[in-house]
Amino acid sequence: MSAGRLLAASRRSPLLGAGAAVLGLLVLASCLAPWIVPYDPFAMDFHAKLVAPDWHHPFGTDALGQDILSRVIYGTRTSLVVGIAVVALAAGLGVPIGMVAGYFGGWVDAALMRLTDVFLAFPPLLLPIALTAALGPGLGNALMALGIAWFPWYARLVRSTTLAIRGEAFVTAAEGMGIGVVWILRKHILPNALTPVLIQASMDFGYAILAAASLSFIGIGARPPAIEWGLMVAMARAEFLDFWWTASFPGFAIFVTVLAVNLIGDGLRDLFDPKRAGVSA
Amino acid sequence: MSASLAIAGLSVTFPTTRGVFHALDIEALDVAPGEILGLVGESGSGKSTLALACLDLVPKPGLVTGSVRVAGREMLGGTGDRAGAAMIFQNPATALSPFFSIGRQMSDIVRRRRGLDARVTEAVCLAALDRVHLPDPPAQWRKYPHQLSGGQLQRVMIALALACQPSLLIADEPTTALDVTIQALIILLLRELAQSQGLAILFITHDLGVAAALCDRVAVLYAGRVVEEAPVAALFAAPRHPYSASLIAAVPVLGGSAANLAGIAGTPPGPGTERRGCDFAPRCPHAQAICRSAVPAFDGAVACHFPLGRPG
Amino acid sequence: MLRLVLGRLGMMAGVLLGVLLLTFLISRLLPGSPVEALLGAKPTAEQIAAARLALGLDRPIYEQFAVYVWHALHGDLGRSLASGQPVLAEMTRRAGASFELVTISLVVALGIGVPLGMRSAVAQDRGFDHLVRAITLAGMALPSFFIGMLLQMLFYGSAGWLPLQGRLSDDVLLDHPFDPVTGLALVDSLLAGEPAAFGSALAHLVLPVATLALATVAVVTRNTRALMIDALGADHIRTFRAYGLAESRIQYRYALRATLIPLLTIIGLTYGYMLGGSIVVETIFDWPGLGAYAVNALVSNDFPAVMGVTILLATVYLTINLLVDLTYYAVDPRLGRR
Repeated sequence: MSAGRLLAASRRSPLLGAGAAVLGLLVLASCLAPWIVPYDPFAMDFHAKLVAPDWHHPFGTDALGQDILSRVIYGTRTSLVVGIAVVALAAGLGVPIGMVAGYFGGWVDAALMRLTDVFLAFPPLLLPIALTAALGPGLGNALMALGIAWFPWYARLVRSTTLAIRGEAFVTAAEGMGIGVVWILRKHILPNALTPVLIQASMDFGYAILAAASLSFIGIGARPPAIEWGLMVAMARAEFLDFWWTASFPGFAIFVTVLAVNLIGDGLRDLFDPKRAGVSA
Repeated sequence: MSASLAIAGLSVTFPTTRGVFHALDIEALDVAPGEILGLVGESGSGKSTLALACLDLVPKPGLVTGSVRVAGREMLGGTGDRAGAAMIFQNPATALSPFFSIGRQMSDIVRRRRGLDARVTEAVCLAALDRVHLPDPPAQWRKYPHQLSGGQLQRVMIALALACQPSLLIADEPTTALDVTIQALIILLLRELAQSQGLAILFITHDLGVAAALCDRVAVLYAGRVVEEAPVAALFAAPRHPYSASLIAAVPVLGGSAANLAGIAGTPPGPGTERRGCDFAPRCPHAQAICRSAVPAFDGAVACHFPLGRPG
Repeated sequence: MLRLVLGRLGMMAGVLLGVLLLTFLISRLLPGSPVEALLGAKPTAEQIAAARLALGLDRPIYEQFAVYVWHALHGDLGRSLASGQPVLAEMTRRAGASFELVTISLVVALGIGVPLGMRSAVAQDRGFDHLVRAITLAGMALPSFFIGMLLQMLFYGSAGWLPLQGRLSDDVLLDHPFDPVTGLALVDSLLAGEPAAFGSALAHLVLPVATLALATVAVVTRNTRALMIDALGADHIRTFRAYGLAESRIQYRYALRATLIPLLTIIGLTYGYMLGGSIVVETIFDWPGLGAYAVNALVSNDFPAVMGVTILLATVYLTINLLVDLTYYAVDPRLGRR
């Protein structure tokens, strides 16, 4: 999707543009973090514990005297990495599996679909929790757990697209000419499967950030001294009733980020929806 | 006797990302009582849009202007009553809700349309089911749509239309989804209804063979405009518009060879394409300079600067 | 019909076996083996060997799995490493609290989300619809723990209207005890004729239910809206419009009926969503249910407990989906009839 099309789309849908703009800012903030933070996010100042938001500390400080604004900015990096890593892993596993299942059919398809059935039998978050518990707590393991737990969605998505295209005449023609399976998969099936995958991925980006924050919140995701918004909210549980800023700013950061990503996802979905294709919004 | 269907100055446009799309632009089109008018055209010619426009069913964001009168009543911009006109659709299997019995749905509609009480409604509907030669109407009444075949369902839809006592029946490709043998039966049924009840039928199809078998007159639609209108025999014997001629020539003939299959190169203008002059000019083998700059007016029979055959 | 149910049960059993296998593999093959957890720090080689023998870890893996399944089918999900109690017994005691929380939250979320989604679909692309879409978009971006903590801040921190956490106030429990007949505090307190306890239970339910419901209602609204829009665009709706049937009749009888089946699916999915969400919500509100149990087990590396909860919740989820599947047959005339 070219920048030009994205720009045209943004003009038509202001929400999509807003989401993209906010995400752009966040990406910028995460890249420039070391240079734009007012304080070292790890520096503890016991003279400035639990200071309310003011000119020196626009987001206040936490129980260890750390500047919350700086920590929130650094948290941007973590969250963006989380989103990318989880989606990349889930799609990276799910897309090939789905293509293989849809293309070859037969017992391969049946076996792989039973496998996805098992994964989908777990309520959301439960499997990632179990996996993280087994792997050991930590953000990296949490990301792996999420990616592994979510691959079935992509597998199913790609499988149905593959099945649809598989029956098309030109695939049979290609096979008749003796063209290799991998080439067919890559050139014919993959491009068509990419659109729904992209849309799902854009939604999952936000879910991943929420899930990772939740895992960190209950104590098995990111652990100190890592800087992650969910972890920051968890650590603020003891004080937040009296010191509202310790939990509110990181929580709000999660909200803004996921909202921006969801706006983009929604916008992308509307863009590719054939029913709206011919209509100006 | 006034026309069952009288269209005047009908225009339907859709705003798209690539500009305004003129889906339909019809100056005049009439159907007399008991007459079957065929409307032929390829995909994208606006046939279905015309059907929807007659019932004020053009989906948003389409913009409809002009007049469509059925038995003298204006259909557009009104209360959505739609009395006087009934429609049958291309896919009978999805035309009714799968969750309710046929009888339930028929009586719902007929009661609304004719304001009768429950018992009379049922009697009327059963009579209509009998009229379309469905066996054992009370049994069909209790059935669900998935329990009937395509042909049977299309009969049910025709019965439903009859029960509403319309002046005009709009049939949007009603036989396209059916087997050829069933097709023939439905066509015979429609002809019988037109003759016996004076029902006017607007029969929309892309199948020239069906049009030739059923219709009294045929209007040819191209890019939303009527390019020719003639009695059926005259049209097939001596088409005057190059598009009509190409359409007729494109129909495969039994015994002919595949090498002689004539297609029509090119496609109708899509949204965003600038339209100047005759829409068919880019594809017309007889196009001249004037064809590309001036839109030919419809003189009641044909819209062409250089109609084929003898003039007049 | 019976054959159908048996067939579905068979399929579910198959998936359940897969679930058991997956949890078994997770617990045995990944780092953090149960031996280390059991023995604590710096075990000697002999201790490790003895423990492995005792736990049956020297057996081939498929034999271990068979033993695992055998035990599971008999209701033996191991003993909690933290408390030494049988995991199943511990979970049973806490199930009532979770069931109460999830069920009431489900009713609330559906009660708000479904009508909202339908109204939004009927008003598609008009003001109300845009408003609902905006609100749900925002709702889906809020983490459940943040919602919970904000509610605590608002309703406890500043106003003190509602209790902070827990299921019942200790003082109320002392003065107005009641027997845990069903495990549901609301029901049991009424059965025992203790209105004060009922009131306390109710007060403690408000915030957790509000949190879980709010965290889910956005998704419910969106999904309902989507399927209602689909239903309104169906061919048969076009037929009714073409014949001039009243718009209200069209919507309420025909479109609604068409949404019934996918709505059942949504209910099943929402239930599952809430089973997962309850883990976080129970943590925030110190709610003595399965979710909190799971988190405590996680943090203390109590494997049998974690696996037990996982299997139980997965089974519950599968059962719900099975029931939803079966209701299709009751509701859709196209299925099953000869």
